[in-house]
Amino acid sequence: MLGNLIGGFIVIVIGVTLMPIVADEVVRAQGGNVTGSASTILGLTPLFFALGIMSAGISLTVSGLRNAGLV
Amino acid sequence: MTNVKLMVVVFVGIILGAVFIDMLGDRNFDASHVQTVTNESITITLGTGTLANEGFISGIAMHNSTAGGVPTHTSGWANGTITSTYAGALTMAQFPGNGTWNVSYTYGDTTTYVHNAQARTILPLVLVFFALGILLVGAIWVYNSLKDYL
Repeated sequence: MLGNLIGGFIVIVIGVTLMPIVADEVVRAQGGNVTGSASTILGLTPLFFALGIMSAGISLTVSGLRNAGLV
Repeated sequence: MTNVKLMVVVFVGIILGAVFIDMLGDRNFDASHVQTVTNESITITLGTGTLANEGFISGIAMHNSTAGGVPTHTSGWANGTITSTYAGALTMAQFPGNGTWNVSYTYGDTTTYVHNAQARTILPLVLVFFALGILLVGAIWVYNSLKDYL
């Protein structure tokens, strides 16, 4: 359980740190010749990255509660 | 795959994907972009000349540069026919004289421009599916984290 907690915190802390880099790269790509639908879809990438961080948090919480017998 | 490993894979995948899609976008732009040249001054000798740009597509218009920009002649030149090769070599049949002339035409990138119209229509889809692929990398992370609870 402790391993899960530490791993989860590492994922969340590093993920949040990397989030601006992902967003910057996406914006840079959108500033070039990636236009139209491709640009719109590419713009959703930071959202899914953030959802991934959030999912890691949810997973950490639920597994912790499950191990504690609360869920 | 542990969460940390998966996150690094997703991060690298998205960063590399964004770089590649940027390059692909530039390539697609060159592949479908028609560039227009207006009033390029060229020297005609014995009915032949050379355009400054290779990759000629269409639309030769020519007029005498000393005549103030008028009249403009399209591909059906009054005294003959103007033809140009892909490499930019210009030939006029029954040319009336030597001298400096202005030509207007369109051309595409020499190595990248796609001349087939149907292929050019499909080109943007390549970008769209590449963007979907990058999005999927992020979505896989979400799925992998939540798959035990779905």
